[in-house]
Amino acid sequence: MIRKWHCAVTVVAVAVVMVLASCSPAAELKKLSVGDAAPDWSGIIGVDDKEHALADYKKAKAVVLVFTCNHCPVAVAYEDRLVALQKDYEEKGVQLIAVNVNNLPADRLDKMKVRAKEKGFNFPYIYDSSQKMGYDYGATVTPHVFLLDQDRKIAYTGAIDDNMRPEKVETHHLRDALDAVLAGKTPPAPTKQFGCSIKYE
Amino acid sequence: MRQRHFSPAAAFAAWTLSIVLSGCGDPASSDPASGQLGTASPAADSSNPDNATEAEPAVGLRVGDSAVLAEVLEEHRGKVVLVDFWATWCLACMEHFPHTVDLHRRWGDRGLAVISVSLDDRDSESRVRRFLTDQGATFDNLLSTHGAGLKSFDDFGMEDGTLPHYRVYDREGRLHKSFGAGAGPFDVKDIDRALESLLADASPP
Repeated sequence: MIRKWHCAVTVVAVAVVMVLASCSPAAELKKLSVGDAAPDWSGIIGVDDKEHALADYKKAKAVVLVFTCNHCPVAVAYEDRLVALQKDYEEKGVQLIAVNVNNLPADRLDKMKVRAKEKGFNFPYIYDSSQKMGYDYGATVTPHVFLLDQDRKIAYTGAIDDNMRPEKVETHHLRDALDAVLAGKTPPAPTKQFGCSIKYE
Repeated sequence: MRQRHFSPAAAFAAWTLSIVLSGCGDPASSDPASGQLGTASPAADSSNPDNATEAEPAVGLRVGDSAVLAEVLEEHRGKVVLVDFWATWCLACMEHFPHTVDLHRRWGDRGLAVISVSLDDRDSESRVRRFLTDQGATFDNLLSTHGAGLKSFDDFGMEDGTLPHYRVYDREGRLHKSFGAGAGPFDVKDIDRALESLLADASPP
C-alpha cells in the first residue's frame, strides 16, 4: 500500500514538474542597447558543417551580425548587398556573419547551403535552430543587423539601409555605422529594423 | 458557406506556396519581389491575369502617405474601419488578404469600411493593382508614397517594422486596436472579434 502511495506521489510529482516546466515563461526577447556587451555564442553549425563561435572572430575589428533567412523576400533582397559589404570591408578587418534562427522548411540548413552556394556568400551563414541567438539579441525581423565593435559591444542596431530596392536607397545606415566605428567615431543612432517577422516557437 | 470559403482558401494556400518556392529558388533575381506574382499563376485558378482583370470589377489605387490615410479615415467617420497594411513582399499579408476582402463583403452593410495600404515600391504599382483586382478589393486602396522601406514604417508609425499590420477604428475615428508582431501574437479571429464588438456597439448613423 505504502509502495503504491510512493509510486503515486512520484507520478504526481513528475507530472507537476512537467507541467511547471511547460508553463514556465518562454524565453523572452532581450532588448539590446548601444554600448551593451554583445551576447556570446558558440557551437552554432554553419553551411560549412563546422561549428562557429563569436570567439572565432577575435581578430576582427568589427563584427556585423545579420539575422536573415531564406524565405523572406526582404532578406533575399539584401543578400547581394551583404556579399558586397563583406567584399568592401574585409580588408578593413570587418567580419560579417549571417545567422538564421527560423525553422521553416525553406530556412533549414540544407536549404541554407543551397542558398549560400547560389549567391556566393563570402561570409559564414550559421543556423541556430534553438533560436537562442535570436532571443539573446532580441532580433525581431529578417534582416536585422547588430554591429559589434572591437570590444564586442553593440555599436549599432537596426536596418542595413533605408530601402528594400537598392537603387532607391538614400541612407546606408550600416555602412555609415561601420565607417564611424572603424574611424573611432560615434556611430549613427540605431534605426528601426524592417522585414519579415522571425518565427519564434 | 464554409465549404465555399474553404476552396478558395486552399487554392490560395497553394498559390502562396508556389510563391514561396519560386521566390526561394530563383538565384538570378536581384529583386525577389518582382516576378513573384508573375511566376505564381500556374496554381491560381485564373491562369491569365489580363483576362481576369477584365472580368473583375475595377479597383481603385492611389499613392498616399499617412496624411492621405488620415483623410480617407475621416471620410469614413461614422463607420467602423479596418486598415490592412500589406505588401507583395509579405507572404503572410497576401495569405490573409482574402480574409480582409471577406470581412468587407460580409460586414460592409453593417457599417464596416476597409482601407488597404500597400508598403510596396511605387514601381510595383501594376503588380499591386493586379493583386487587388484578383482579390476583388473594391474598397479604398493606398500605395505608400515612401515605398518598401524604413520611411514607410516610420510614416505610418509601425514601430515593429514588419507586416502584416492591422488597425481597427471605431465610428468616431478613434484607434480602437492594432494587430501586428510588435503587439504580440494574434489571430485573424481577434480582428473579427474587435470589429464585431464595435459594429454591435452602435448602428450606423
